[in-house]
Formats: sequence, C-alpha cells, structure tokens
Amino acid sequence: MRFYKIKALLKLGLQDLLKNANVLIYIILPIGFAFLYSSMDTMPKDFCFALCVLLSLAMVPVALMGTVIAEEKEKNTLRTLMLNDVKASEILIAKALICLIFVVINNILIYYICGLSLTNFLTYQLIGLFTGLAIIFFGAVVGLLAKNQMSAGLLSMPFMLLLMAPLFISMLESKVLTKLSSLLPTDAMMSLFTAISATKYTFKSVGIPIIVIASWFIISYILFNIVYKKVGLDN
Amino acid sequence: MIIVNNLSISFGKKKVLNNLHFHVQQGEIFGFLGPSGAGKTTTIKILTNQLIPTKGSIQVNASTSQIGILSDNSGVYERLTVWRNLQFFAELHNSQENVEQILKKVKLWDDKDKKVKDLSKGMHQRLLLACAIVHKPKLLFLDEPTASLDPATVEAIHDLLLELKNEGTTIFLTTHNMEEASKLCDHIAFLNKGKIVELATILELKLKYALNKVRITFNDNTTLEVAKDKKELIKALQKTNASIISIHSLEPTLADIFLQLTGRNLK
Ligand SMILES: Nc1ncnc2c1ncn2[C@@H]1O[C@H](COP(=O)(O)OP(=O)(O)OP(=O)(O)O)[C@@H](O)[C@H]1O
Ligand SMILES: [Mg+2]
Repeated sequence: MRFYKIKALLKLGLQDLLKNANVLIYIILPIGFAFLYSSMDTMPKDFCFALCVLLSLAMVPVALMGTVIAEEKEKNTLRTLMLNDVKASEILIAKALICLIFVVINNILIYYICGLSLTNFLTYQLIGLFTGLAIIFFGAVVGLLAKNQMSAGLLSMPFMLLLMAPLFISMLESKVLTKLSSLLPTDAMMSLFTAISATKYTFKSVGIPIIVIASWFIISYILFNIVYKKVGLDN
Repeated sequence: MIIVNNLSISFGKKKVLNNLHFHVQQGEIFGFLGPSGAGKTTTIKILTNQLIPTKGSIQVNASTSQIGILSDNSGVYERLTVWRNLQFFAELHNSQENVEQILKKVKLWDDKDKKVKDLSKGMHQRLLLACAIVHKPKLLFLDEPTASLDPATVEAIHDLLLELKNEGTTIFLTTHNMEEASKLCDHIAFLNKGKIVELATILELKLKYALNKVRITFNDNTTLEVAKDKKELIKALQKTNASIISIHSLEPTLADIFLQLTGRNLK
C-alpha cells in the first residue's frame, strides 16, 4: 500500500464527487431532512438527530460507496487505474475514506441543524463514525457486485432497507420485530444515543449495542472478503 | 523488451490466437497489423496481464509502473478538466514530468481548462495519449491510437510517437492503417485469424514482395506499367511517340502485401 497513490486517489475522488449531482443527492438528502425535521416543533431534538444520522448512514457508506466504485467500472477508469500500477486495495481504501469523510461531515452538520447541546458532541460523533465504519464494507460489496451505477443503486436497496428498518419497526409496536430490530447496527446506534442523552450507562444500554455494532463490523468484513475472493474488483 | 513464444489463447472453443512467436526489441516501434477481429487487442491484453494465455510464454522486461497503455477502453474522469486529469496521472506515478510540457506536446495546452466531456474525439484521444506517457514509460502499448481521427491529429500523434521513440521508448502499436505502419514501424507483424503470417522490417517486406515493375508517365497523360527488363522497356517505349515525364519503380504497399498473403483486405 502506497500512501502517495491513496492521496492522489483521495484528492481526485473528492473533487469528482463534488461535481457529480447523481451521487451528491445521497449526501444532501439527510441534511435536507435535518432542516425539515428540526423546523417541526413536535420533533424532539435527539430524535431528529438520530433519524437523520440513520438516513445518512443508510445512504453514504452504502449507496454512495457502491455507486462511486461502480461508476469507475462503468467509465473504464477502474481498469485504467489498475493498468497504471494502482492496487485494488488502494482504490477501495481511498473510496472508503471519501465516504467516511462525508459520514463525519454529515453527522456534524446534522448535529448543528438539529440544535443539540454541545455536551455530547464528541461521543455522538464517535458513535456515528463507528457505525459508519461497521457498514462501509456493505457499500464495498455493492461496488464489487455492481457493473454500473444503475445496478449499484438497485443492489444498495436491500442494505438500505435493512439499515432503515428500525424506523418502521418502531411504529409497528411488535415485540418480536423490536427484538430483531435491536440486532441491527442502526438500532444499536439509536440505543446508544438514547442511553447517552439519558446518562444511563448499564451493560444492557451501552455494552450490548456496542457488541452489536462491532459484530456487524465483523460480519460485513467477512462478507466483503468472500465477495472479493469470488469476483475481485475489476470483473 | 518483449519475448513471446508459442502463445495461444482460446475463448471457449474459439481459438483467437494461435501459436504466436515474436520479439520486440528495445527502442523500436513494433507494428502489429491485422484486420478487425484478428486478435490484436487480445494480444495487448495478454502482454499487459489483463488476460491469461491458454498456452505459451511471454516475457515483458518492464514493470507495471514502467508501462503505458492507450486502448479503446482507457478511461479518464469526464467531469474534470484536461489539466486535472493529467495532473492526477502524474501524481499517481509520483512523476516529476512537467504536465504543462506534455499538454503542449499533444497540442492540448489551449484546451487545458475544458472538461473532458466537452472534448472532441481527437482531443480526447490526445488526452488519453498524454495520460499514457506522463510517467515516461519504458514500454508503450498503443491499440489503434489514430483510428477514425482527422489527418491533422493523426500527423500530430505520429510526430509525438517518433519523438518518444527517439527518446528511447519502445512502442507496441496495433493498427489497420498501412501508411501509418510504413511511416512509423521498424518491424511489422501481420496477424490474420490469430496467426502471424509475416514478420519483417519494412525494407525486407518491400524487397521480398517487390513488384519488379516501373511506371512510365508520358506527356500525353498516359501511363504504362512495364516489367523491369531492358527488352520489355524498349519495346514499350517504341510503341509511343509521346515523350517521357517520369519513370518510377513500383513499390508494393503494405496493403498489397497483406492482400497477397491472405487474400483478405485489411479493413
Ligand atoms: N473475452 C472474450 N470472449 C470471447 N471472445 C473474445 C473475447 N475477447 C475477444 N474475443 C474474440 O477474439 C477475436 C479477436 O478480438 P480482438 O479484439 O483481439 O481483435 P482485434 O484484432 O483487436 O480487432 P479490431 O481491429 O476490431 O480491434 C474476436 O473474434 C473476438 O470476438
Ligand atoms: Mg482491437
């Protein structure tokens, strides 16, 4: 792994992303919702934040990551990079860094827009980033499997639904589903936010969600490795 | 620079390359000629590790970082400018090469701030070439670099390739343009249906396939093609009263030679 290559890829990737309206929507949409929800008087600030961060995590590390990788395939730049002595790992790391940068930027913006007090700022940011890290491999899997941007969008759907499921399930008031939902990384993240804002630090309220998120990190990493061995990056 | 022995590749039952043997010497322009579907691109893909041959051995004496490639599936970043793209490829290779100098060489300096998606086909191709040479590769693969470009762009690219050759770059060039091959190449391999049917220098080819004829042009606008033979010539000259404007030795074109070898036209 060579740092100067990753740096060049990172710089170019960021610049290119900011000119790409098709994928900027994934970044801007959660921010838009933050403005919308924060303007509603009935919406608690904490909930507004959790909701928009969840949306951002369903979009940025999964759909955005998958789409930017798929576009490099679609436009032949991926093959060109590989022929210019760039390794698959260098490309994937650069893409992951770009997406994680936007995970962080989004979380910071959403935090401010929702108007939360500064007391828990850092903890909330760390939790958001930690969860983003746990699911970025799903985005990489989408990128490996998709041949073009269109199929990346489609392949992201099941992952996005899974990550957003806690929202729908919370409305259903079903015990079984609620139990299942607590096994999802985004649900665990929301539980952590709740525990912290209530300053309730027990194993059940903090320890278990952390274990859940860490498990997803391992699961998505294993899935990524299986898919990578099967199809590679430049297929 | 490149040594290929016994190279074959099949896709399913279809044999696309059949037992190729050739050497590419350092510093030369090696022309790989053949009609569409002959297997030119496939050969480049094997030599650049994009495909694994079914049989045979290849030896390429240059590392990935010393190779430059231009092919129809080379890609650049459409939303970014000419300048930014070239700068990126320079950064990727940690290249000290001057981006400005290369843009001037490929005559894109005035268009450096244009976005790639707004470029004409010829400009686009020159940018791809610039990206392929920005790290001063020892070995350059060019897959039909001038196909369907305007004559001025073709001329500019030819000049650049000869300049690169003078600087010591080895170039592997595929084309179905015969004039291009005769102008640029040191050795030429004719590929037909996956087999090399002839491999020689331009001079060797011209001698071997010499037509042994001269063309005489007269001042009454008639021309005559006659065998290079004293008696035949005298006989021909006695038949006419017009005076001679010129006598030229007829040279076979590469296209003629290819047709003679395969019974096929190149295109
Ligand atoms: N991946 C592949 N699978 C199956 N067949 C292939 C594959 N790649 C190439 N071929 C076949 O191999 C033959 C040679 O193709 P190739 O692209 O090397 O020709 P070419 O000489 O570059 O032609 P052109 O001048 O049109 O570019 C063609 O018949 C093509 O259909
Ligand atoms: Mg070809």
